[in-house]
Amino acid sequence: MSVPLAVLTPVVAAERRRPGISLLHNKTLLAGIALLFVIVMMVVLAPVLAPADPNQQNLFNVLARPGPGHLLGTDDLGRDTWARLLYGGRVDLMIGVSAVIAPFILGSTLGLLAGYLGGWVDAVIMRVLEVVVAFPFYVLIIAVVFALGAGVSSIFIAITAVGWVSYCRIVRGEVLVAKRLGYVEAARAAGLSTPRILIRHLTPNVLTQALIYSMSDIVLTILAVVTLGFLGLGVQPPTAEWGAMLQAGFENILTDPILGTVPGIAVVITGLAFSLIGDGLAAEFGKP
Amino acid sequence: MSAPLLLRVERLAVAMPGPRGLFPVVEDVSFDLPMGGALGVVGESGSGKTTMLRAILGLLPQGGRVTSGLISFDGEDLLSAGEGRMRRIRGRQIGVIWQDPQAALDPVMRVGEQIAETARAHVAGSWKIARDRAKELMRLVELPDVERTYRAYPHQLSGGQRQRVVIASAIAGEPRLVLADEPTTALDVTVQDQVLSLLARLRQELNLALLLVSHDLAVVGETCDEVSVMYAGRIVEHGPANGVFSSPRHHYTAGLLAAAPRVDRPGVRPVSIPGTPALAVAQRGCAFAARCPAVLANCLEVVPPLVGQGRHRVACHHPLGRELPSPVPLEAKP
Repeated sequence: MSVPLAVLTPVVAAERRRPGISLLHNKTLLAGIALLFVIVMMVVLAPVLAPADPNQQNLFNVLARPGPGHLLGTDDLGRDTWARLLYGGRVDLMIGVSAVIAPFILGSTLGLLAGYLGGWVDAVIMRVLEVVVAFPFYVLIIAVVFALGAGVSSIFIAITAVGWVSYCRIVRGEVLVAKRLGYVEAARAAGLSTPRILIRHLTPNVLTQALIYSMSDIVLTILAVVTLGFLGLGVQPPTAEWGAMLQAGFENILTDPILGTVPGIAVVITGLAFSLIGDGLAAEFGKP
Repeated sequence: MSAPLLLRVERLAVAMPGPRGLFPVVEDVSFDLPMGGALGVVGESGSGKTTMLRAILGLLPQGGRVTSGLISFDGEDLLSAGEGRMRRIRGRQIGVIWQDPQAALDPVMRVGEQIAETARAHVAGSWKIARDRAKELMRLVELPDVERTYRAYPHQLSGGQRQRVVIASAIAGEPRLVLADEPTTALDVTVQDQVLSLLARLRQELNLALLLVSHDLAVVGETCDEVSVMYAGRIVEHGPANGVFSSPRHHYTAGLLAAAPRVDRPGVRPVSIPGTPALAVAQRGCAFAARCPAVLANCLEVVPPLVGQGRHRVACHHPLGRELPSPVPLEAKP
């Protein structure tokens, strides 16, 4: 039976919606990005905003009150607190953000493999994950840093070794859902290879949740860096760092409460910025 | 018709995992599909149609197993083919048109790329060739403004356009057989007809064999030369489409036909089949016995074999269109 072509009426192209994030309607996301922008600008412009050398000691002017020469006063070694705050922010932000990248990649990759391949691959990855999860976050981080010796590279290794589990679990769960969806089945029925299905079809569809989580993970990581600094296991003196500043401020809490309060507030505000971005992204992608 | 055989399914049985171990969902299903032929499989939801399609593709859901039987494609035994071999058969030899084009397309990939990647995986030597081929296929399935539609995402297209994209990617590997799983169910009625016409035209132009699964008798009647009617995992009637639809022999087929609304006969109201569809494959007796208007004693005891003269065969102890010698009424059984 032949079908005359005229029978087929041409279909009209559907209205096209412009893709992209409607930033202006998402006030949470907007507020988070604005706040983060201010923080980043402050630490980037630290030399301009705080002309004093953050490591320049002045033992004749220790524990000075806030004043014209020193905006937030000086610490127990006579160093400018305002300068140390900004330069310390550079260190904490940089480590906090970059230390999230390795666990993100490692965890997402393992989660993809575990979820899609299943079987013994899944079993092995999940048993290793359970071992990591069995320890409290800080206990494991501190143990690893302690074993490797204090320092930035130890922090990176510790956070990667512990942090990948969250990404792995999130991505694995997303993959378990996605692999039953039509497009993955259709890709298999089209004879596409497993790597292609994983990279081109699953990855773009499952990474959203991991990305949203990574925002709160940055907060956790900055807190971990600050905590290690407080315990003397993090960035080593004399480099300015919020955790070490908190520690110094803690010793003078009764006489000079401002020393310990200022870096604490900085950590809270930075955490707030990333949390707002995370919530905003979650709202944007329609899932909590 | 004497075209060479393309697909042969013989005594296929498939079992799926249930709460109490494996339970059969397809039992003793046999059919032949010649090159360029079109076979329609009709049945209610849960009758095993889709499971049968998946078995042919080697893509049964986790835990599902072909428990016995044979599937051969162009003389090759698909059940003993390895995963690597199956990957070269899927898409390249057998294309699939899915029921729900919305689900079958990757939401975050441009539709043109989705067609091109199948072409690239099987027939095109480079991405450049694959992309040109995808655009050709998009013209073949009559998608509008190909250069622009190529870069569209699935949500930017209408349901009919999405199904055209799915059809284009089903034939992108230049297969000889296309499996269509309820290809029009998710579409508007007006679009259904366009898609069916397109399928019929592609079949003829590309000499495709078509195995179409649907619960819609009109769709199958319009598209296929032969029809198999499935009920509870078994084929209960098989024959040329016009023969089966004009003079059904199984009571289930007759019931299905009476239940379908008839636009051409406005006075005739659809009559539903009493009872609910059987889900389990009957191991004893006829699965349709509980709903059959003409049930007799042996219907509950013996599985009726698929028999008949010529091409029209039926699995019923006392088929329609022929008087039985002396039926034993059910009540009369001691």
